[in-house]
Amino acid sequence: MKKLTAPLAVLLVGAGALMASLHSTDDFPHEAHQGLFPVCEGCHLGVVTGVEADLFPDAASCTECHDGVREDEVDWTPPGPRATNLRFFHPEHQDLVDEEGESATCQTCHSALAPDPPPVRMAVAMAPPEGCLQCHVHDAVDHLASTAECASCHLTLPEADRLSVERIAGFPLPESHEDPDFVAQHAPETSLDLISCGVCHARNTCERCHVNADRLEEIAGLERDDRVAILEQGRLAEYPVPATHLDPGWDWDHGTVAFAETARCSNCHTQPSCTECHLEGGERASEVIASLPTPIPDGAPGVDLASAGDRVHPPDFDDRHATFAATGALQCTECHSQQYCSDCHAAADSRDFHPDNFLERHALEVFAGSGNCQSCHSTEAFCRDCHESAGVASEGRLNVAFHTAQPLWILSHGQAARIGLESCASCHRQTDCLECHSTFLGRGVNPHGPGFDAEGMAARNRVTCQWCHLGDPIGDD
Amino acid sequence: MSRGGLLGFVIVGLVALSMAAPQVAEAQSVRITGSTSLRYIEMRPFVRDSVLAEEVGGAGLLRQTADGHVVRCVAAQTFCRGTRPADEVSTIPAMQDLEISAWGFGEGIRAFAHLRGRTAWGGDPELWPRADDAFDLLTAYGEFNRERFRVRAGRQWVTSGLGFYNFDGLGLTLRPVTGLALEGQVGRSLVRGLNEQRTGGALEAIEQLAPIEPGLMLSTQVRYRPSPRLSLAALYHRDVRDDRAGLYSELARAEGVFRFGGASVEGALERDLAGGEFNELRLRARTPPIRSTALAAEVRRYRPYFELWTIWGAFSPVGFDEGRLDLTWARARGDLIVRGEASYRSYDDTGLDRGVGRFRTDGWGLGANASWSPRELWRLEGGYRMEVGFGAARSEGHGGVQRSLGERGHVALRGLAFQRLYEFRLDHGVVVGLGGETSLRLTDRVQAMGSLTGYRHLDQGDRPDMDWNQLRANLRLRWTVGAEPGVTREPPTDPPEVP
Repeated sequence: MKKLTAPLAVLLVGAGALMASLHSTDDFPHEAHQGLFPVCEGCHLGVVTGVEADLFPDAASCTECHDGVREDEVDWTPPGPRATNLRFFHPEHQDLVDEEGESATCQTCHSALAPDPPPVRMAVAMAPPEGCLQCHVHDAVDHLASTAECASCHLTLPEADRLSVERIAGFPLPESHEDPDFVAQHAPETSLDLISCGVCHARNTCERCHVNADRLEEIAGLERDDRVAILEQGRLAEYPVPATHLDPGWDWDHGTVAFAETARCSNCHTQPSCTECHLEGGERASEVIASLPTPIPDGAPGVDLASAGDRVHPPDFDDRHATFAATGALQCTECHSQQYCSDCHAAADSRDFHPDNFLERHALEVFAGSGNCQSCHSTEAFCRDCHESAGVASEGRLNVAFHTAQPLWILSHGQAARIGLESCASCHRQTDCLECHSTFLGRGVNPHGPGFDAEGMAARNRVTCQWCHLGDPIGDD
Repeated sequence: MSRGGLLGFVIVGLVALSMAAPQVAEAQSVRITGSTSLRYIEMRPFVRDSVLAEEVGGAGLLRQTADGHVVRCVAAQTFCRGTRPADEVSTIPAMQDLEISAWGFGEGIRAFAHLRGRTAWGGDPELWPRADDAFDLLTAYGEFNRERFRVRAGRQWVTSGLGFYNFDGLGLTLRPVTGLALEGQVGRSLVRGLNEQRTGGALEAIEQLAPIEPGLMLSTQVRYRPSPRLSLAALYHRDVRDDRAGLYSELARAEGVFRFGGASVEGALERDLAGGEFNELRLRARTPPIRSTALAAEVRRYRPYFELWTIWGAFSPVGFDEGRLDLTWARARGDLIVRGEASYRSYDDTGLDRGVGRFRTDGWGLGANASWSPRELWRLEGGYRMEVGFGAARSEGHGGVQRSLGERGHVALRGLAFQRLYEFRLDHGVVVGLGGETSLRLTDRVQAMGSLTGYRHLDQGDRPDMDWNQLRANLRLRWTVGAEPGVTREPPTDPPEVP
């Protein structure tokens, strides 16, 4: 016989094994009757005709001899209709063999493992799986290999309607299904793959997890099955996290993927997956969200992302979100309301921006210049108001004994002032400085540093110049 | 318009609007969020003091009294002057916020107001800033928002790359195409973070050279996001005196973000157009996480910015150049995050950097922190940071454990220790603090938060000029009444019938 498909061969092996396991129900002592029956078809006419009722002789046939007189009575009943999902039909198989110009008799399969010649006539048994492989060439490494085309040898579940729930529950689990990535990659690629799925699974299987079961042709192509429904009852949906989702950048980049592959997202995610974070939903996000399935009562629950908002941004995002927000890089309003921003960014009105004990520790931020305090606070109004209450602010120039680290502070304060003028302004009023640096209120000490653009400053706000200078400051200097 | 007048205008406007058209009023919805906060603060403020010079031993300008206080003794003066901690005082400032949002006047029409009342109790109510300012109208605007544009009129605030600014006026946002937003604001500028006009009295109370004219503000922003990988923004802000006699500020800023393959490059450039200086130049690059580790490097030039109504700009403040490295490692599950950072900065030449008694012109910082969730609801956090710079140095560490209560909130125990920083002062000592905090969602619409921290001043040494033995407490209650606008996870109580 020429080569048939490899999966067919492999599955035949499995089928043979299954049949062998059922042998005990047909425990007829063939060898004890070897001289009695000339041909197999005498009892097993159904093998030739395909009529299932004629596969075995009826019990009455035995009484022709085992009538209690000639032979002892026996209690034998023929096996009932076979509960199998094997796609094997004797007449069809015989036709195939004939078409190939090969020869196959009953003994070819049913005494395949017997010594040659067989020790006794009618030393038959259920066809062993290995017998199938004597003719059928196969490539798959084993019966449950992922490359096997199951439906070559097996019926789909709806077709195998005699299988019990227990038999279905006992189906072996292919090794491929234990791969951690299997769920992410299990979609059937061809119609043959889909039929293979249908050998063990029904639509109910898919509907347990797929929130888009009614949208997928692959799932819609499967039939629901009451036996599978019993097996699926009470089982929780499983949503293993795909490897892509574990990438630290996934939370940022998922929008692009969601837009390009919304249908794929729909396998696991319903609209609430998105709206847990996307409170407002911009135009682009809204389009994606609207196209996702909505939850169905008693249907697949979809991925629960109730706590996703807590981990959306990378750990260092607090420090660098400003540029992302200011440029619209992340379209913040798709997830956050303006209220969310104002909790921190309402300047002095904010109470969430700084930690509770920040007041006690804020000097560090100011000192390092990392806080950009002036971007939210008016140094004059906010900082000095508090510093005056705390007593650290100045009360004039010369009566200050605060800067005790420098005996000649007055001579060295200029450098400190130019480096840390923000700090100075948080305690000192401008008039403190003018006691020396004003030409008409003070001693006329020039505070301007190298490269000071007097003309430019005067052009922008001449009034400020006049706090120190009488008349035209440009002309005076 | 005065504050009271503006508030009256808003309230009367809302009421009138709801009453003028019954069919509109029928559809109107109002949501009010209140926040009541109380603090308890103990403090021993600095007070100036003097002692007879003859009672102070030693010689020189800086001397130490018998009880350890450092005083300044000028030759030939009878008294030496110094500071010392005053008696302990306490205050209990209280704030009541009300945020009122009303909608349902028509598609995209909304009114919003944020009001605040203040008071303070305790031994020294004046200790807390602005405790005597009993009422503030922080925000009050009407909004018309459609797909392609949004208009807001009234008191409002904006945050952008230029920081926070608030104003009374008109704000317009245009969204002509996806990815492009044009925004503009014009109106009367307010003191940053104070919600009062420049001549409103808040500045005069603490500054003799306060502005004498209100400000008129114009601000524009363009944000363009041609692709999810690239986004750009340009901003311009101008604030002029009402009499046009000068500028208060004029700033421009450009910034952008480019992301590719998990990496990102961010840049920003800010220029003080009025002062003719660059306030900020920043470039930051971040690698994609490799084995859960991301490295970010930043170079930054920063120069402080001062509004032109102050004389500070005339003192030629200098900026600094800074380099910063930031390493973040996060386990894929997110239960363990470790960060480390290091920075170095170098200040510009002030022209006064040479000679005796000068300060260092550079600084550096180091820090690390970690967060670990050994179990689902538990989180341990800790960190340390040190900064060294001109005139002072400081180090501090903190740690804590937090137990999540799920959506009901959390409880936490936290501790910290820091060495004090007082620039250019002879001072030392370590302060430790220990306290707890909690946040509890009492109902779907009521949330309570509180914290209590006690500080202990250790090792005051021989210079007991400051006293940090004190207690701080916060209590805040946040509640919401009114309609649900559909932005929470709560299911609607009466789902619409499906025909």
